[in-house]
Amino acid sequence: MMACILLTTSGYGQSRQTKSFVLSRIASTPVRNDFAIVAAKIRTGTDTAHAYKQLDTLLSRAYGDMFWMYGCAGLYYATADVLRPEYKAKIRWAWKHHTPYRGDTENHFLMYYGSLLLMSQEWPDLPDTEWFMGKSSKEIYNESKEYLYHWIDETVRNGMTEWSSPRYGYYYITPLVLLAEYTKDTRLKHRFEMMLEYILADYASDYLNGCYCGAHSRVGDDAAIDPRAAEITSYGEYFFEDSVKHLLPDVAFAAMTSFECPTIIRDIAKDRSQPYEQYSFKRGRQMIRYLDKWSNWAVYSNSGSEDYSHDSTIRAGALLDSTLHAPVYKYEYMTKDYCLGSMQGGIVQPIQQQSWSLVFNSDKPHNIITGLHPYVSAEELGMFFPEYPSWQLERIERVKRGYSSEDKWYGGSPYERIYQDKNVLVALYDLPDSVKYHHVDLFLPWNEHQVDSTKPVNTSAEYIPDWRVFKYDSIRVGVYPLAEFHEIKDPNGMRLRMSARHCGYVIYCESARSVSARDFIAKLVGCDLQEKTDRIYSKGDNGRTIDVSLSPTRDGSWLFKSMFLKSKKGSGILTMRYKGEKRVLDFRE
Amino acid sequence: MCPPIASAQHLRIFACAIGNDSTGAFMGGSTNGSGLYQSDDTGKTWKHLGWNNIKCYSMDMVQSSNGRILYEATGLGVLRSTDYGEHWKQITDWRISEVMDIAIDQKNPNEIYLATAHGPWRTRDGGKTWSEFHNSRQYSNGVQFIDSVPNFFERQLHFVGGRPEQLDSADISGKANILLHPPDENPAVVLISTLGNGIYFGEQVRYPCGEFAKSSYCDPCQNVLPMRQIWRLRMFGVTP
Repeated sequence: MMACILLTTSGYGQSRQTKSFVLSRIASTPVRNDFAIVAAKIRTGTDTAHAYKQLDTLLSRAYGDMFWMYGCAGLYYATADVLRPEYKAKIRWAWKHHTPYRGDTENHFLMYYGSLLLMSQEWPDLPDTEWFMGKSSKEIYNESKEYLYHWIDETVRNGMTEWSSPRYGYYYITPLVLLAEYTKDTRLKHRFEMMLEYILADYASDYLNGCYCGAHSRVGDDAAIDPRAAEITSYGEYFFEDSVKHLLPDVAFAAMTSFECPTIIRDIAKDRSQPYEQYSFKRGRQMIRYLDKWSNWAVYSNSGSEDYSHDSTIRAGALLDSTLHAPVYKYEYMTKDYCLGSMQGGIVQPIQQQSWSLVFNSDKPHNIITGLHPYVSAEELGMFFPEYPSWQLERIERVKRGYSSEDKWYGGSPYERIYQDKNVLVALYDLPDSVKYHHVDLFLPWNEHQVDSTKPVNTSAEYIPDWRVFKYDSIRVGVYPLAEFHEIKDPNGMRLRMSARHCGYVIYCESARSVSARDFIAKLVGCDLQEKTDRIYSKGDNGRTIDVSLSPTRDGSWLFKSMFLKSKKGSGILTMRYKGEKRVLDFRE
Repeated sequence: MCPPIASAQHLRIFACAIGNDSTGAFMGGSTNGSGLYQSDDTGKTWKHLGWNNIKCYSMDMVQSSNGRILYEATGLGVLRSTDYGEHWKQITDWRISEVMDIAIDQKNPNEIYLATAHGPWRTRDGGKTWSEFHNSRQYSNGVQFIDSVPNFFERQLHFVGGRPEQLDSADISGKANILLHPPDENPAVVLISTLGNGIYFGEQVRYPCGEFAKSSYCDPCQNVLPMRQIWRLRMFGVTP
């Protein structure tokens, strides 16, 4: 069967005005070391003297990497009919003599092989002496095609490994936009179009007013506590809002193509009239060391004890798969006012993982609550990177500044367990003596949000502290620390820090529209939270307000399961639904 | 200046550099000047061979070719040169990455084994086709023939037994490889590759005892060899 898109009805929507706006805005950006800016200038005939001068600089570098490659390929194709011939020759020369670095992640490989596919397509008959890696055009094309097929197949059947990344999603969308537009082989081109839709649909289902919600495999420094600061926001606004405020250069590449986001994906991104739950299954980064340790951590993080026979995750054999990827069970509860989303905890991606977040609908920055145990270890690095673990730890701050900080706002921990049921999240931590930092932090934004904090009395539970209640624009939030805590002022809000060996917190949220402050507080005061071995629940109202299982069934049989998206693991098919519309991406061949 | 080292045999030393001290020099990145270096004067001067933007973890050569056929184990697979390092061809594909070590069967140079971060690989036709070896995904960063059988292992950091004052500093922590020639307690040459401060070498020292004072950090190396993170050294006897 041909890979195909089936639809009952669907229009497309990307206005010409938005494309034109994006292109002219990027073209008028002061020239700098960025292929997209140079391409926009050449395409629109803006400031071309400076643009070509900058292109000389970009092409003169004796080295580069996959970021250089996709930018160069994008410029070549996007300006093909106006690019001066001598610059086409210079680009040809660069691909013969420069030796760009391939990288080591999924997004790196997409950029690398996507670029090589396009450039070998452009120069199809060159011998191996004409390419930097010593392969012929045909060899390069076939290898690139094989990798891209492999990546797409793995992703749509078994789950993405750099999943839901506010930072690197940008670097998936740009090369896919280029591949979908410029690939000549119609079957292949169609596959790239579908894959671009797939990535956008995934993003759309976690999208709330410009923010990428839920848990993330890799989040950038700023976006960890300010979702709209993420790179991918540019594309969210471009494809879903048709109006871009947070504009980054690569969007110009999209604006120079004919690709338009199907309206059903835009509707999925925009319509929050009905709350919904979404379950999805992803995969962690491939592990290379300490597999036994990870397994122990996984057992621990899923059960909190060595007796894990009750835990369905473990019973399902959900440890590392045969290719050494950890399972990721992702869950979001999305409403018009907020999205609470999480994964199960533990470490599945090094350094930049964000395991849960509560994003509330606000136009102001820092509209997020999140928490973590700041885990730092050579084992975490050695688990995913090939160099000597201790040496990596010594040098990590040069590459990923902030990793070693006790105050960091992103990163997974093997000693974190997360459970969620709709608008309630429970995070539990059991910190052994061996960890570097013996505390857990919770970020609560402060500035610019309307906040009222109340401390109702509830000392009947065995827990030491009380509920703390906040109102942030569209939501009311109750935070129930499960251990003693103290407040630390953060530049962007407040840090609740717990330092007990066993600690954690319960997050409870509701729309501010649906409940008054008084009723909200009364409800929490009446909760009388109780922790049993298998659940945390509100004894006061017999579990009506809070009843979270600590041995949940984590279903890995669906890559997506929600009212908008469905994809059975292994099927290679994603079905989108919105009201009466249906759109099917069928990747089977 | 680096002291000259006399040797009856002409030695060719290769240094495999994975990065320098700049941002992004490891863990997903590499920088200009990384890759493979060659010295024909026992470490006094070095020249860069081939690609200068790759993590070079190891190398091997077909010894009967006297240095003409070189193999480089890198982050993006294996590169081969058949003209003393002038031109290089990538002989692996997208499936193979983070090649930490390479061993050529010198009796049958078409048979090559790779220790990679994602498991061992083998070719029996000189790199035309590759297959996973032992169907294992076990991490290894070393492979060598023992009794004609390839053995895969995890190479650990070495530390000299006695730490001379000039080496006993944070700069040299994380030594990656020590090379002795000949490999006994009274080597004519001792080279230490470090993962942060270039290459140290000494002559006529008593290794591994504490009298290592003759070893000195080679300043000219620092200038000629911009890469500071030397993953491995390899030494071969060649005919000048």
